[in-house]
Amino acid sequence: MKKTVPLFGSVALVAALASLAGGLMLRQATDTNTPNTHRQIPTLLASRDVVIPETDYFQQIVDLLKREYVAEVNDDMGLAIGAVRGMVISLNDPLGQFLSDRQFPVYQNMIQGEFEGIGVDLAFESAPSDPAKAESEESTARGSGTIPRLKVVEIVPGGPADNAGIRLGDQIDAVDGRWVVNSRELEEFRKMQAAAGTDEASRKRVNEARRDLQEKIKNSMMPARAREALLVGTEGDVEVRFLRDGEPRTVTITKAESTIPIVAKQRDGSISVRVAQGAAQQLRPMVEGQKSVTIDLRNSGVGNAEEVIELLNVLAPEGEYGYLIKERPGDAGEPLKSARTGNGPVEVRLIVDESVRGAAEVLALALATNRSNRLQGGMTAGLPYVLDVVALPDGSGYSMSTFRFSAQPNATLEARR
Amino acid sequence: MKQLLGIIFLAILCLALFVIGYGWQDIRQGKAPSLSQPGSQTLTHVTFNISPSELFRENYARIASDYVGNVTRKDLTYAAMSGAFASVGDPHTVFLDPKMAKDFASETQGNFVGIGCRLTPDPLGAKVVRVFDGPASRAGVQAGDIIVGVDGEVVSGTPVDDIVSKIRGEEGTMVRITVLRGEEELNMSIRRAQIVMPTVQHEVLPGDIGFIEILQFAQPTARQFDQALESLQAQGVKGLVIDVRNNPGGLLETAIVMLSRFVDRDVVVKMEERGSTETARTQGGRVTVRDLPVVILMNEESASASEIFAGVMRHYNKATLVGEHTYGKASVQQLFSLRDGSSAKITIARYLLPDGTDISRVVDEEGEYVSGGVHPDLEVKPNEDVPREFGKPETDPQLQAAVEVLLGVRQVPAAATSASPRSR
Repeated sequence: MKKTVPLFGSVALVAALASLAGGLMLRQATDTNTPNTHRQIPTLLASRDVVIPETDYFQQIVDLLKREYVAEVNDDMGLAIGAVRGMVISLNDPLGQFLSDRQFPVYQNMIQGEFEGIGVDLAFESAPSDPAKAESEESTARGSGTIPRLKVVEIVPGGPADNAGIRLGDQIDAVDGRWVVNSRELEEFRKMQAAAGTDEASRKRVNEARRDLQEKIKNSMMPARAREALLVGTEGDVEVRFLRDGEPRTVTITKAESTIPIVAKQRDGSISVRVAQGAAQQLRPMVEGQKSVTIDLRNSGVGNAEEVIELLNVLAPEGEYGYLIKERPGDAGEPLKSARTGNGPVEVRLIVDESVRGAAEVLALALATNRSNRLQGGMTAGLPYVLDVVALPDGSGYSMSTFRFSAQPNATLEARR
Repeated sequence: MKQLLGIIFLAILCLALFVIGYGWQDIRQGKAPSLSQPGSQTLTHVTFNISPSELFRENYARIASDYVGNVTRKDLTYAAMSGAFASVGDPHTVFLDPKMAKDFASETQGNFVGIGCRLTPDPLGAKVVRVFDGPASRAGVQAGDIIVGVDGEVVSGTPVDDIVSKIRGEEGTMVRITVLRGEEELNMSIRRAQIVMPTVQHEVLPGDIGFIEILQFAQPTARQFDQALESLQAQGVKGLVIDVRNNPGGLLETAIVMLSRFVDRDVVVKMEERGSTETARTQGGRVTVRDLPVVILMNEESASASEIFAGVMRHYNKATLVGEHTYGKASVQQLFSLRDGSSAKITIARYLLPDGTDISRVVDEEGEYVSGGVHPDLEVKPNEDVPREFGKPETDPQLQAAVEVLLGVRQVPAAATSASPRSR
């Protein structure tokens, strides 16, 4: 039994940030319930034939910690949940995320259009929007882990954040004066460092930038914390600094409950639809017998996969509408089908923008495979995934992308990541 | 072939168990799965009333099979183990996957040696702040040089730790460094060798203040410290600055011997191990410093034995602490080798200050600081625009402040306690 000498190397800025991150690679965004994806596509159950060679690994680790750790380790469930958390975070899931016990119930309500906090949904964004930047992003990721940025991906119309002037795509930079850590700033600092000249002035500039960054890190919070601070709770003020086109702005917002109705007739005759439980049921009488309808899918990003099928059954004539696929070879995917009996619209116009993600985006793209339907507005988010939602015993939980929409079966899959 | 059949059989078994388990669980929750009625279920999976092991296995299987993208079982297992370790809340208790374990082993056990200089971060690479007796000094490296390249690779913008590991290597091998001296760029080839690092350096500062820098707590440190104390006291210094900035720690025994020069036969450290607590006392009758005001300089990179030294000195009112909040590591880790090359680094013992204060850094599952470290009585930041030179207060605001405290021209705010949390 050799004891390692309690000695550790000097802590560089990067290491500090990395330890701040706890070695985590955060990643997250929106979601939906997917109770019966399995029902719709029974053959997919076969993919559950996992033989678990590591079955007892977890128990071995628990035993080791119990035996050796300096203090008593009693919370086996805590360790198991920690393990699940570790797995979920490691997926770098484009939409799925681990949700703390405070966030999980709020998340479930959000799916149904009932918001707390400032009345937005926030997602973690770390994929570089510009492919040219991908290489340097990767170099940041190496060793220190990537800490994503927090972006506004959905806003309750007329909710607290909307009234305060927050817009889709705004990046949350600080909450109550604490900087929301993201690795892009670190990367920018590194670039500046590498490009600096040897003269006194540029050295001074780099040193100043380093000091700023150090100060920021000292008074900072991790993105998952910031998300919780903004989405949870129905009272109290919160000061939000956000970046729009790189320009910082600060607003103080009072948290309150806010709601996006699941289905609502709008003044211009269109119908806003949230892909939440009960949407199809409410929508059916409104569109029955109509030849053409306009559905506004904006701000419906958090969705329920099961409801996609139900809405297809209302909005589309019997037939196939693309596929739900796995992003891995050897899995062709399963067709999305409408089994509409009865009278429904022949032609659907869908109003979309970048807030349309997840189940809502799957619905939009599925309907668009039929030529008589049209998408209008802006680009969708490019994240047409359906998710599974799992509750854990301590009140936390997670969501996980299980399928992605594809107009074709899984043959010509481009490498997404 | 037999094996394949076994796998298929197991697969079928798992599938069957899953199907049964699914329904059974929902029924036990009092809600039968509503497969025909949409909108009556809010959750797909409810995983209550199962053992932690089962919870892990179930979610492991779910993620491995259902996630939309590719997951390798191995990576998933490693991620799970990292997550389990993170939930312990101790940043030094970590799971190391095989690659990390290998890096860690070569860092701590490898026969890696350097060239004998001390580096600090610099915008252009790494700045040489001190050159010890060794290969670098023989090759002509000077304090103030900036290392901008190692073996032909530009290192500007690279963290100093990474530069250090590029320079280090097997004893006897060569490393070529490119340094910037003023406007001039120099290339030097240097043979790596074992360096005997001085661990204590001292000097008399203006105002008859003794200055002792302790670079680490190694075997010879206590003797070198005694010599420094003797020399400074012989020169009639009126106060003492002991500098443990950037001191990563070392041997606790050494720190205890050094504390014996100030504290007589008293408890200085409590060591907590699984199921036992031991106390360590300073030696009796070995006090050599009396009636001499002492300031200890520390910073965020003072760790382990450094923090204990500082914390104990303040506990017995033997010193005022100046500088920055310390790192917060007062524990011993042991490395356990696990299967396929992964390892677990686990904290097996903790040191507490005499009053029971645990200075170990505690973080939450996001890795955010919760508590730990030793807070200074007088907080002073370094000036990063001016390179700090040894024993020159004009280049070193923290040292300047320490001297001013000893000379009585600078007041220390009252009511700082050893456990005062870092302000946020």
